[in-house]
Amino acid sequence: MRCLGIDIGGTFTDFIVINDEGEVFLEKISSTPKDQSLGVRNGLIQLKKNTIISDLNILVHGTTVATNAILERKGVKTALLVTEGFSDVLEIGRQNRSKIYTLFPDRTEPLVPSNLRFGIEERIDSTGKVIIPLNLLQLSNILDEIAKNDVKSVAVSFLFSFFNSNHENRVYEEIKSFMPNLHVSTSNWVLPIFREYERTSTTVLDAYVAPIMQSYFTSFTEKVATEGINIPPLVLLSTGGVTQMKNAAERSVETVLSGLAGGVLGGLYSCRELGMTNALTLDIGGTSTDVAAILKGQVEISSNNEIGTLPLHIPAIAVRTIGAGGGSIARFEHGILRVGPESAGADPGPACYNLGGNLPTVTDANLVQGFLNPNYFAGGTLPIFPDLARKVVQKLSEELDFDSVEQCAAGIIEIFENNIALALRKVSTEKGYDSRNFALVAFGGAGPLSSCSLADRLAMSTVIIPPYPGVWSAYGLITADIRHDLSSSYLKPLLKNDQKSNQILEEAFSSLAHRGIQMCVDDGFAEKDVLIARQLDIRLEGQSHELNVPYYGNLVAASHNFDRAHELAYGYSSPDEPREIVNLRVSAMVHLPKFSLPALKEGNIAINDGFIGTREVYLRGGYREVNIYQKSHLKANNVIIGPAIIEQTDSTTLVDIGWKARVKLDGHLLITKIR
Amino acid sequence: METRKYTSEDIITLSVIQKALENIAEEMGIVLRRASFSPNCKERLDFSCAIFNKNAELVAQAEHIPVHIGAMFSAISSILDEFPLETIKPGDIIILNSPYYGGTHLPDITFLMPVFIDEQLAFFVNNRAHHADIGGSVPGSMPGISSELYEEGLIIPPIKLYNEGKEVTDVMNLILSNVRVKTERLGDFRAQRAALLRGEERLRELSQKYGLDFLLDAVNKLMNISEKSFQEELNKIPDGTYQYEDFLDSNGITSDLVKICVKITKTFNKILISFNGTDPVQEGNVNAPHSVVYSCVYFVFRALTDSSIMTNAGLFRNIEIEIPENSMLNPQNPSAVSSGNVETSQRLVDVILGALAQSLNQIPAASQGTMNNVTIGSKKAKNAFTYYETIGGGAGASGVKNGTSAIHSHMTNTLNTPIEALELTYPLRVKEYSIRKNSGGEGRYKGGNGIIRAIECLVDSIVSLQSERRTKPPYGLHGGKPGKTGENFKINIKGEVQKLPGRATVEFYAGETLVVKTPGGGGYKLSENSAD
Repeated sequence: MRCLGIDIGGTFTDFIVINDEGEVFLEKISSTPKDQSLGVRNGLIQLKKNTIISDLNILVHGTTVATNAILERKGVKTALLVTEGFSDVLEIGRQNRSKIYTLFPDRTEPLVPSNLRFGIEERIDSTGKVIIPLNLLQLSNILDEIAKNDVKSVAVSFLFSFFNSNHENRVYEEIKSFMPNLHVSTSNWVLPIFREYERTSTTVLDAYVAPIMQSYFTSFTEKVATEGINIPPLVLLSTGGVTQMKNAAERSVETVLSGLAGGVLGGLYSCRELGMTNALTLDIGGTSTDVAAILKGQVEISSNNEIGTLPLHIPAIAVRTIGAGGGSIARFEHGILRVGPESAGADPGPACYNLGGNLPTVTDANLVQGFLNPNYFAGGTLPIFPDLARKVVQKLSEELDFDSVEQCAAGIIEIFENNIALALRKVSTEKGYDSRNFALVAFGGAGPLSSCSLADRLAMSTVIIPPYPGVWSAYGLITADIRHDLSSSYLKPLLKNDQKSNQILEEAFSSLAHRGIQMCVDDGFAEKDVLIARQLDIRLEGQSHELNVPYYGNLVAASHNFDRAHELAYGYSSPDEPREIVNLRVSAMVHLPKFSLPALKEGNIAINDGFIGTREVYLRGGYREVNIYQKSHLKANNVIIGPAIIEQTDSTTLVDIGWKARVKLDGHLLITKIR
Repeated sequence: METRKYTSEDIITLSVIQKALENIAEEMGIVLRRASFSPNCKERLDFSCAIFNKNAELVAQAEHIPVHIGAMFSAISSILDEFPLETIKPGDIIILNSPYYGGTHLPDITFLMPVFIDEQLAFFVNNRAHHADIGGSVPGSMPGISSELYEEGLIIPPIKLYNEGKEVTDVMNLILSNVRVKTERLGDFRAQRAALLRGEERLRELSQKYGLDFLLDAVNKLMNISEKSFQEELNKIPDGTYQYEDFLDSNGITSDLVKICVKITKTFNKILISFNGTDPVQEGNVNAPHSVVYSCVYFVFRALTDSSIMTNAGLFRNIEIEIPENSMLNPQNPSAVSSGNVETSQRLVDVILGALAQSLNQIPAASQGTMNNVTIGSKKAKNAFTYYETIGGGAGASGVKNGTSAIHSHMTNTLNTPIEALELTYPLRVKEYSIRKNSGGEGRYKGGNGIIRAIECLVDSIVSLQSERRTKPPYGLHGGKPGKTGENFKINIKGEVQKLPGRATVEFYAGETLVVKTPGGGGYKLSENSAD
């Protein structure tokens, strides 16, 4: 058995091959943003020099193609059909401005301009009843207009289509029969959930990227076939599940947050391997940091997402991204020092890269304090220059009248880490979770360096560093399972002991489950292997914010779970108030085979096998001599007492004062607070 | 608990504490939104959260609704007049809505809770939420026409709703007995309290980390930083005196124009905003309590100041505001005020901007200048409902770009109620929600277009409207044309159209439709092709 994960990020494309003999092969090459599949091919050619990839059993791909198409506004020309009288809903949005204290109210431009937004006579009321029939004559005029405008894709979103999809489906059929090459996304297919603006926005996003994803998937499949891979590639969805590319092409919008999901899955794997059930994942890269929570061994799925401020209300792993990374720039403004969100990126990059950057960044500050080894940055492949870092930090230090350059550097890191700590709080303590019971899984090039300090800020006492922190998102890909998520609005009172309403609920669920099973079958699996999980979105009657709870066929239990969730989220519950079932959600899953990481040689506590010397490091307001270790020479069971630095090709870990690290058999570092 | 001393790392610590304080106010808002019941709070986010010190100085505020920004501190000052510091106990929650005690209009209910740390009163956390109904003569408590405060709802002077953590049930019962949708109010009250408790918990944690004395000292330093930064920004305005006047369409009862005047005097690092010359107290509900006036002035200067400067009391120290006695901007009990907060506030911003435009290039033309308040409620007590909403319009054009269409400007930023949420909740049907074409003022840069929103009543209902710029249009600047005035209509079952005034309370029969067309924004500079 052999498995390949390919993760495309903004700067690098990462490859990881693992087989059931416990061998791992890594490859990291520059991304090719214009056509990401070119970079994939380049990487495969490199990879083939070290290992065999022709007999792969599984290939999983994480992509940012859809994400970038939206953020850079490079999707296809898209038209929108809506209920007459409502063609501006997409532009009006929620009528609010994005910044509150401004004299120039503004918002993000809609993806479809007004001349391509068409209202059509039809209306369904809030019970699903047709009150104005669909005007087919008008539809044919609109289609003429669409044809004239060289439109490539159409989104259809009618009011209350989640209760009655006939009009939308009829329009779909009409368009397909007249213009079979046009892509059509209907809102009852993409997101049959109430609130018209968010549903329409999500449907438009689907239409906007679908033709691009379809041709990308074709091109990807061809490129890997050229390199001898003939199995159907799987692609990671925003939920952290995978599906065959041909199926993902039918629901492209589900890949929009694919690029964020891989890291969280990697974190989830680490968390499970080390026997933890609650964790926060922390992925610090060059320009941004992604954080997410793992609760009771599960990733959190949220349906209220956005991309580039546009609502994207399909389920996705709840990841919070902030503009903080190694390239984040420090600047003094209005009496306050800020770090990020502006980033020096990879080009010019931090000042120490010597590519023209002349503003102090987080990486420069880390270098000034001696945390990074100038001769072993990115395994020695990328030369960095401490004197350049020192120069830019010194300039800021003088401006702020610090006693020393190091003190200023420490200040930059303090603010940087504080920003990340606030993001970690948003996904934990602000939701009512006690961070003290959570482990912190830190990865990405810059995550392991700040991990102990961040854990201290949230009173966490356990840190986990994966064996390959710099490519852990790619590793996350190959831990994924087949998964399809379906939802629909229900909006009926929750009646605990009413047989008839129970039956209606069961029927609605079984129709969703049936669709989910069919999608797994399309992925090549047998119906008997499909696992179905059901969930309810419930709210108190009159409330307009719903909470998601699992449903095992017992409404009394679901109702009780709702009260507990309400208590956790808002500090009180109202067990006697009537409640309403807002949405039904179904996940259909099939487990894929799993691989184990190679075992290290076994050592023991007393001997530190990887010790390679000491370095002067500025820590807690003064220089001190710190032991340096080489990760690749460490053995299982080695224990390293902080302060210590552990270097490896893709990252640097600081075991801080008051912490100790234990090397696990599979290469994870388990760093715990010394009591 | 360790108490830290200041070192040369002040700036680092201050930067960190600033973020933490802003985050606490923001987190209170998240709790309030999630836990509240009424669509007004949840979907439209019509609330604000803030932290004050025990001197009633603003420490931090989350960016929610601008019209609450200056009004909150007036409320706290009033509360402290009624409840001296030594009478306030941990767990107390004092509430108010009276515009004569620092409130704005009756539906806005302020909650204030002390935060005790090491057994001393260290901070106040507070929030203010617009409730969909607080009693009075019409559902929604925003009567189109009213001449006494008593018509606008239940008046709550500063009063304890929670006494040392325990609900004062008599007070709660009294309030709930005077409002139309009891369970919704109760839910929202609890949400407001939950938000305060969260704020308290977070401030305690922060104090634990730094030590209370150090934290309070840092708060003062942050105010000084904001003060200094504001003075630097103020230097961009040339010393001098700038005047402007504009009008409301109505005094709230008759269609007599009401004048609002401003004179801005900038000298060195101070700025004096005087409203001398503004019309006296009005018979209708357009009077604006002084808390509203403060909010408008603060909004303008907050918007003109670099957004990276922290919003706290220091930001506003060098602004002096002069409000003439007996004017409509200083009404006395029992003058009606329900429209002062939502309509007069927009005109106040218009006149301040009109004056500043004489010396600052970046000032835009007038935006729609109204919030288009629509309240629809049932005529019958059975199946009672109250729907309240404001509608966006055109933004004014500026010297660099066209005004944005169909958006909220200046003193409000509430979300719309989704059509599907509205129709699922109320016996109403939305027939149109679109951008009102060609309603923005012409100019080199065009004003933004307004909105058309048409709502059919499916049962007999009472509709209340408070809207402005129906007579006098939003001004253009430097030769730009004004935006189109707004219009309100009723369409009956036969399709007959009846024009409604800007302010009205009107009965609608089932099947009749309300149409509101909101104003466009003003244009900027003469059009290049002025023959257009």
